[in-house]
Amino acid sequence: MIKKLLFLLASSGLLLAADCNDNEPIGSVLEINFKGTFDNAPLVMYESAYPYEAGMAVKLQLFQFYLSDIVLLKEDGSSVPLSDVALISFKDILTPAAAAQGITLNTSGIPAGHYTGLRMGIGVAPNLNSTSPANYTPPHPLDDNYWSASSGYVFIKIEGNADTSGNGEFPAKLTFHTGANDIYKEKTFQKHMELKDGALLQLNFNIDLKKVLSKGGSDFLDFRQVTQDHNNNPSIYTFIATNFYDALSLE
Amino acid sequence: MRFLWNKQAFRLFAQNAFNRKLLSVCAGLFFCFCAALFMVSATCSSDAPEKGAWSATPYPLKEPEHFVKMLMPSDNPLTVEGVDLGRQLFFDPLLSMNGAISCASCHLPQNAFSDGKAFSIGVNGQQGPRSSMALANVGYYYKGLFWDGRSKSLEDQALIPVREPHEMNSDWSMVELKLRNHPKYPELFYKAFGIAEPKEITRFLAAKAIAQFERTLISANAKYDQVLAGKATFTEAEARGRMIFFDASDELPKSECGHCHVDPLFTNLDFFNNGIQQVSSLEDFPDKGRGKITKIKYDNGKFRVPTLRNIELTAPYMHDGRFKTLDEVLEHYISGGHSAENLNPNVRQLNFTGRDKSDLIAFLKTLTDTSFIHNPAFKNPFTE
Repeated sequence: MIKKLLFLLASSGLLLAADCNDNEPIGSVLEINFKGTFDNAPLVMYESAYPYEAGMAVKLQLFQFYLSDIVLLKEDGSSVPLSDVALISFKDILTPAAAAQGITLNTSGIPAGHYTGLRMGIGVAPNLNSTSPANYTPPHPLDDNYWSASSGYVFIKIEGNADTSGNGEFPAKLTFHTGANDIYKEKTFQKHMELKDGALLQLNFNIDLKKVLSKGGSDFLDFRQVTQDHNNNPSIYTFIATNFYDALSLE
Repeated sequence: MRFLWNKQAFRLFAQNAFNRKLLSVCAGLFFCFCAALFMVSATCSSDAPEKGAWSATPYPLKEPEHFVKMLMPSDNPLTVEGVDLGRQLFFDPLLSMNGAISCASCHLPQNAFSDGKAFSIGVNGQQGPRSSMALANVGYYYKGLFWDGRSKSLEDQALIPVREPHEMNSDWSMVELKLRNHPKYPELFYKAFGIAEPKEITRFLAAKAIAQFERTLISANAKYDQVLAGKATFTEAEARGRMIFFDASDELPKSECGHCHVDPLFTNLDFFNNGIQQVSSLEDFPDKGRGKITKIKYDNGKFRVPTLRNIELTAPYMHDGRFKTLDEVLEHYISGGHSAENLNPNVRQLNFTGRDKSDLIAFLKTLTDTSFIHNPAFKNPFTE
């Protein structure tokens, strides 16, 4: 008799719990994937040498960037926040297979409905750029990459080596670090999306690094002339920031 | 009640079969009661502290406002008693095979918790493969411990030197026995962790205590910090050296130091090949460093970026102590380092004058924190 009673109590408890869950919208899951390429070839650190302008070639060791205030845009003009800040780093992409997988940001609990696109800031938004690692408990995207001399974060880091004479040697050391409030810019990507409760949707972004370094023709960072900039030369860091804005695309 | 104690009445009562059964039940219950009473009295009369009465005092850690926040493991909160036990263990050579080497043998307070040697010396004079790392602000290291980052936490790290042949060359089972039978440690472990019996002393509790002590080793009161706080000013040389360090002026040469030695910890805790070893391929590094742990060939020859706080006190420099002075270190970086596929591109030839070098070194010396090395809370408790 007691066993039966306990079974009934446990069963009703389970039913109640299930009923409670049913009443709460579970939302949908959005995977935002970023793949890096260099002139459409998968972007792999260290291993791959990429042909560049004027017979030069490059190898990469680090490519990373910050994105801020990532929001989904609704049909009524309002937005659903997905992330305050994210650091997308290709530092550990060491094989073509890893490059094909890319870097994924997972967001969940997004209300079901129709969305018209996604907006994100390229770099660290000014309100966050005025903070410092002292404001965060690691691991956090903003616990590193802080430039105390500039009182702000490095938005984009590109590090690697260049073969400037076409002989297969890569002696030129490349370090381009950019970041300042005046080059922070939001970009909106239009795409109609229907998110359903419990369903997963994937958005695939691409960033082609060659397009960040070169606009083609004679308009490119010439590694025979310049191998580094740490936000010192406005013509270089705005070139990189503007190109990055154009090169980031939603597939 | 009197009836029960009357012998005759008791005999009559016992002659009845039903009553005999009842008597046996009562006797059983009485036996159980006596046994329980005995157990309770035995527990109370022992010297062991009563379970449930234990509590430890939260340790009032003062984290510098200009530092990142320290990551505290939820299963090892800092307590006054835990830190005290950790300090005792840190300085106690009991942990080593022959009772000659303690953690502090290679991490001396006066050397900002390094040892001034190119290669640390363990029991019986055995030489280790690398230089001892300074422990200032080690509680903030969340990307792994050691030069190669092989331990994920201070608690994991503290277990390793005891059993390393070139360090303490001991055995944790033996150390646990020594601690359990020690005249002092059972009480200290009780105070720190509320153990009920000495046999509950384990290597894991010892490691937790050592980790707690290490998290208190905060160095944030150098002249550099005082200048940030507006309590001191740099000399002209120090100020110029600071601008060079952080590449903060287009008028001065760039040192590229600040990319990896990010303030306030003056390390980004990451792992790089800084070009000190000349090799013909990535497989040829005599010490593969980070690569030995990750098995990734591009990590070969990479080592942790060490903190520059108290750098004046932690010579010789690099994982193998190859540079005896800061001047030698700067000469290396001025040269641009030895080429390799994974040489950090921030290590590049520098165009320095003698004044640039001396000013940069003057700035580096503002990271010396004498209040840290003389802090009585970090001193050897056995010599007080």
